Amino acid sequence: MRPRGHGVPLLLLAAPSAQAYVWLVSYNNLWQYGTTVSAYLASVVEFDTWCWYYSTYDCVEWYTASVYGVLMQDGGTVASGYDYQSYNYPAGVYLYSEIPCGAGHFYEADGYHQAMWHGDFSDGGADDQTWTFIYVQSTCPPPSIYSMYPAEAERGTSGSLTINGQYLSYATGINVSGAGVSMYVSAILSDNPIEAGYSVASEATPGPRTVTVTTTSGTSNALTFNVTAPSGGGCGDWQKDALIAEYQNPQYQQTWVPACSDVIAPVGSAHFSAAEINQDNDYQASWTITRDSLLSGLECVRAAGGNQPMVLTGGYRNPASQMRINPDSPNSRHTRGDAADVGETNSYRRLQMKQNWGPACGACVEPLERTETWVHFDWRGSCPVGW
Amino acid sequence: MELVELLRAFLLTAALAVAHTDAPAQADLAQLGALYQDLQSSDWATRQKAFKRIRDNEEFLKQPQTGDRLLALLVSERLEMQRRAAAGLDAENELYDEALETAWRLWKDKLTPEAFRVFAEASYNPGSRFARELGLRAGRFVKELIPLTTVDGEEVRMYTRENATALVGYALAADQQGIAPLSPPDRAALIQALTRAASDRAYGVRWAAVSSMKLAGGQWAIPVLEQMRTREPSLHPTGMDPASKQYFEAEIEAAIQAIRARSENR
Repeated sequence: MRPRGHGVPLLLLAAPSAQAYVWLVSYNNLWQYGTTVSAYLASVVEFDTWCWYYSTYDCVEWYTASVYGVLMQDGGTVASGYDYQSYNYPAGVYLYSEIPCGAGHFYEADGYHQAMWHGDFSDGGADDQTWTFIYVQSTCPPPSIYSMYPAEAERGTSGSLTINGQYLSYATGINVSGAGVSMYVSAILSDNPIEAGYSVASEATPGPRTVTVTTTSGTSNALTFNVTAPSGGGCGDWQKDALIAEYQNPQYQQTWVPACSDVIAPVGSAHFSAAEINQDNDYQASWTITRDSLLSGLECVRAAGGNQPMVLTGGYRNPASQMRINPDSPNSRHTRGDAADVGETNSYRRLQMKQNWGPACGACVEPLERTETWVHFDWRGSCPVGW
Repeated sequence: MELVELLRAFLLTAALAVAHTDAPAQADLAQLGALYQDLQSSDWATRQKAFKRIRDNEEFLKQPQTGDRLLALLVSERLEMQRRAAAGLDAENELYDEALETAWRLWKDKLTPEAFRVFAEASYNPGSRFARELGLRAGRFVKELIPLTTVDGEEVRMYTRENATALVGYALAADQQGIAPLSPPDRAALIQALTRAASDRAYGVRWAAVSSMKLAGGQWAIPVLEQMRTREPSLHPTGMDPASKQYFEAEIEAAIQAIRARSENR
């Protein structure tokens, strides 16, 4: 049986005293295995049976074989090799290439084969026409990522970062948990790493985010990207930052986080001092959240009550303070800066505050059974259904 | 025979479709059961978390047991608020206020006597949206409402009487406007309750009686109001300050004027 191969010209040797036949057999094999494509190209000198039994001038001489092979992907060479063997040994080259994930590619193996005697390949054979090709597609494992640089950024900044990992070709997106941080793939550098652009909003909550990369083969493991407050403090003052940080602390169960502009220096109104309003504020000497609606609303209630003196028993509370005073209402309007408690035990005035003065001034008034010695007002706008 | 087979196949398909639709709900029910348990936790944050998960899931809200569980939550949270208030502590409870809103949404169109009583005894202001909506439906539960206008006991009951008196006014107003007509015996019972509230020992209840008569009183209310005007100063052991007296008399006068205006319009 003749060896497999392409283009196998049978050349009759011009030996004067023998009937020896010598020919070149060329092999060009190409196959896919997993995520690689391999090619084996060989040149083999073969003799006919007669030559094996009878030494002739041609038969005893040495033939040489050589092969030059290339492996091409989509028309471009991705691997090449050359081999030369004397004493009638076969010459062969083994070539391989990783298949990029997720798309189809056309692979071609092409060889230039020779067998020569006395430096003359006309007495053995030459072949530069043989070729073979396959079309392959590789499905890669899901991507994995193992490092990111930089792995943190300040609020209100944008830039680029590098993500290192495996199987990142054909990345379709970068996912970031939480609000205020976005990332996008800007370049894939030879499958690994990828370059990404990022943007951190100025109101993004500082803290860790998880980052994953999605490719056509799946989603990677997660790395951590930290959002930090700008150098010198998010709002330019460490106490202000500390107050805002309380709203971000899960221990205090807050559903709202103030912006820098919400936190102001203590302020009062004509009849209600900043000290009164901030009596339960742990930051009372420096920072508070006090809404204009609270100040004007309290003055309105006081006027409705005949401008009689009113004493506040509570005003703004930072989350830690609120938790100490009443853990059953961590998100009380006292933490939002639009609530105050007016001390009052006179049943007539309490009733008027609830029925008339508060509603006339746009206030929400807590049911009095819960506040035996004071009346709670807040100016949240939309009151609870029973208030 | 063929028709019977077809019908059988159709019924089987329909049954399978129903079973298929219910399958995810069955899986969720186990989770809902755990949330019901959490509503009874001694930890406020756990109760709050469980409540929010139920509130934010329409399927959970549709489950028959959910309404009862929320009523139970209202009762237990109110007890906790009363305990804190009695100790002089801040008794605000955001879970209670949110649960009241959700429970009311579930119940208001299918009130039962038991549910009505829980809502009527809840913690709310007599002028709130909730009180007005509950009052519109109170005419159907006169038997449950009347006792609440006379409950006695600890101080907090004063607010129950005050709120119940306000509900009486809303029910009578709904009757007058033809929104929720009352039977003659029920109407008479509510009027009697208002008359009685006019001489309640608590100022807030008396004020609620005046407000209710202003809202829904008939000619019968005018002598009651006149009597209140005369008697009110004597009910303040330490004397009634001039501003209080003025406000109270102004409210009585406004009530009488409103009653006369309604009579003339008829």
